[in-house]
Amino acid sequence: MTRSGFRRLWLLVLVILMGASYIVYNKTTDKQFQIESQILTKENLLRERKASKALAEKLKQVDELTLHESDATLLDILRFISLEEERSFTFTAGTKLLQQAGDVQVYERSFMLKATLPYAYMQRRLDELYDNERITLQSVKLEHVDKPGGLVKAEISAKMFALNKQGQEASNVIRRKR
Amino acid sequence: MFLISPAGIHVPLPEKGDAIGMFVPSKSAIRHYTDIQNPSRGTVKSKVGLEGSEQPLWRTLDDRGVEFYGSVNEEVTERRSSVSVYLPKDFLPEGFSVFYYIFNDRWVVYGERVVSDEGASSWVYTKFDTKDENLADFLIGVISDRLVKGVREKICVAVDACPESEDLIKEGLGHFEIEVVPFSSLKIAKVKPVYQHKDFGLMMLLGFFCGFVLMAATVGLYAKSFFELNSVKDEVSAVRVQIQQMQRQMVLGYISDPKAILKIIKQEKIISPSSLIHETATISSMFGDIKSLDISYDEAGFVRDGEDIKPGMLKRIGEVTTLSTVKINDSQLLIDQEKVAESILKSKDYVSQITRVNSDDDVIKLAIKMQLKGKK
Repeated sequence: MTRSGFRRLWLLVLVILMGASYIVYNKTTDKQFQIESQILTKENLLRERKASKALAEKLKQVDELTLHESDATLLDILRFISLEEERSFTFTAGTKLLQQAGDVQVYERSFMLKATLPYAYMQRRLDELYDNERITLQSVKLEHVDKPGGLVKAEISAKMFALNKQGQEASNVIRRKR
Repeated sequence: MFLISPAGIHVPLPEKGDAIGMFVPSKSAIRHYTDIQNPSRGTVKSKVGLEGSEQPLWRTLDDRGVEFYGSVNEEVTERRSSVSVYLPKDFLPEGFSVFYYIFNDRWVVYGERVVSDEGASSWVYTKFDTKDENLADFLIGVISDRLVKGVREKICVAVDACPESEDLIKEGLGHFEIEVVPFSSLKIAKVKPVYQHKDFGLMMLLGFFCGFVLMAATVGLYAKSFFELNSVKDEVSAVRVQIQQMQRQMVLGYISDPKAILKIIKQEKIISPSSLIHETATISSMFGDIKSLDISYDEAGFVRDGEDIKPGMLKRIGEVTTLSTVKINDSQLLIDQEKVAESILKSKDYVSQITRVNSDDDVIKLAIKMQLKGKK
């Protein structure tokens, strides 16, 4: 190959290499912008996921701490306050109060529990009711009973909360589990 | 070493490597230019009217402008390796005024410095082709004729690539005490060649390498960005899917502010009822037989300072008031009850106040205010 031919070829190859480098570099820059945009999107989504997770946990907590207002049965209520297997307590429903929490209505249901039990056992049951987060204990009245066995008669005033839970199946419907 | 003249190339260029050539100009072809501004190969080529790949052989003179000697064709100019072309006089050592250069057992280049009537010196060159005659005889004949004229001058004879004639020439000229030297022993004078091009192959290769490295680097960067983008996109998709799954599995998803509901529902745990009842019972039993005990967690029952204390109600956080109904002995005096209350207040730090309220003859109601442990 002649000197000028070689020079022309060299120049051509160099121009091709530089041109291709320039084009590829431009495309790389575009990709880098896209990466930055995607990273920003990812950060926003991670924040959204964190917020969703926190919201889901709070909603789960709300779900666990509230009854289904429209179709809660007595068994549901007793199960809700962990007294479904307790024979000593008598349950009496009280007033119902409506409260607004944001865009949701919360039903506040008062109820009364009455029982005559040994003093020590009553103490334990009272602590259990107090520790149950589904119940807000309002007042306790203990009266001495003139009978052997150290019995006390208790009137426990408390309240629980309910929501109209949309999209949840009524609990009085029993289906065969699959 | 190659030899060229306006007639063409007489001693060919080497196939590879750097080449140094000698151009033997014809006297008629030499031209002087004094009107070339900023002389360069391009301006001289344009001035003398050369076209195409032909390149001028020229040199700038100190005070006489540019001297043009002829041109070289593409066989020289298109050679890949570097080429430098000099005039015959550039090879001549100092002190000589006549030279004979012999190449390839055939070509003889003769040169002589002549001085004009005005005192200006110049060189005349002649080239001989001894193809059809004996080179040694020819050269010895020419030099002996010159010596016969009796001019005092120093003659330089140099031979290059003459395996057949070199010994004969040395022997023949030895009688005239003229030394024959190899052409390779002559040093080129420090002058600019009349034509030169350099071999930029290495530099071009380096340029190509740099371009290739640049290209490879950008392609590598692009590939890295491409895979990184795909990876980030996958991560974004995965997070989106996670959010969608979370939203699908979310219970009570229509509620936007669960904290407001929790604020209503959750009761602040202050003190367990068993502790409160036990302490109230312990204190009340010091007054008589306990009939009943009342405790209340209802925050709606808070009372402010100055108001009547309502039995069994929390006053404020850290302080609780309970109500107990106690049957006292008939013989017990009010002062006795006061003494009991004082002893309780002295012995139990957490009891801050004991109040007797709504009492009948044998049954008293006590409002006992207690500080909760760890709080003031």
